[in-house]
Amino acid sequence: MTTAPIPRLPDAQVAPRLKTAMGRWQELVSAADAVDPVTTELVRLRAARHHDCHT
Amino acid sequence: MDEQHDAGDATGALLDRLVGDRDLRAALAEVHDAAMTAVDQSVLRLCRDRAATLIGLDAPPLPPSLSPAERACVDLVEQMVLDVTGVTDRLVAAVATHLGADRTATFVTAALVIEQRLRMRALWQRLGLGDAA
Repeated sequence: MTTAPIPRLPDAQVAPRLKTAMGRWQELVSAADAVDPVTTELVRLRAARHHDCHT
Repeated sequence: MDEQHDAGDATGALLDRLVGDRDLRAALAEVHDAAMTAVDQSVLRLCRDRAATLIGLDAPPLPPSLSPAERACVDLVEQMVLDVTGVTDRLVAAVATHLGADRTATFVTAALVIEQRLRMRALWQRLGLGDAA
């Protein structure tokens, strides 16, 4: 089992508008149903592994 | 939602043409606008152009000399694009030296938005879906 990485900037805050816009975009992408849920999850996991996201 | 794009944003025009969902288009436009206005636009454009070149898109070359802050930001974005798992403490610290922690976190998020857009454009080009003039 891998451990989560230690944040490099633990108390840093992203600009509010950008943070909100990113959240909205990610929310819509997650809710999109153009691709079936299984494929979506497979792609998500593959991308997370590539990016070492620890998700 | 205003979906006007700046003169250099061919990706925006392409997204408008190819993304059928209105809410997704609006969210893409908003996150891009938020990214471009959250950080120094001249630095972000330098990083965008460097990222575009690395991804295989046509883009202007970097100017012959960069300020230390510009160099640090470009170096970090280069690594993010080439292999995000290779981003080091040193690369992040170099940017934070100039921008501070909050602005560095904002810059990285903005760079992520820009990279994502460039990769979408590159993918659509490779799929033969064309590019906006």
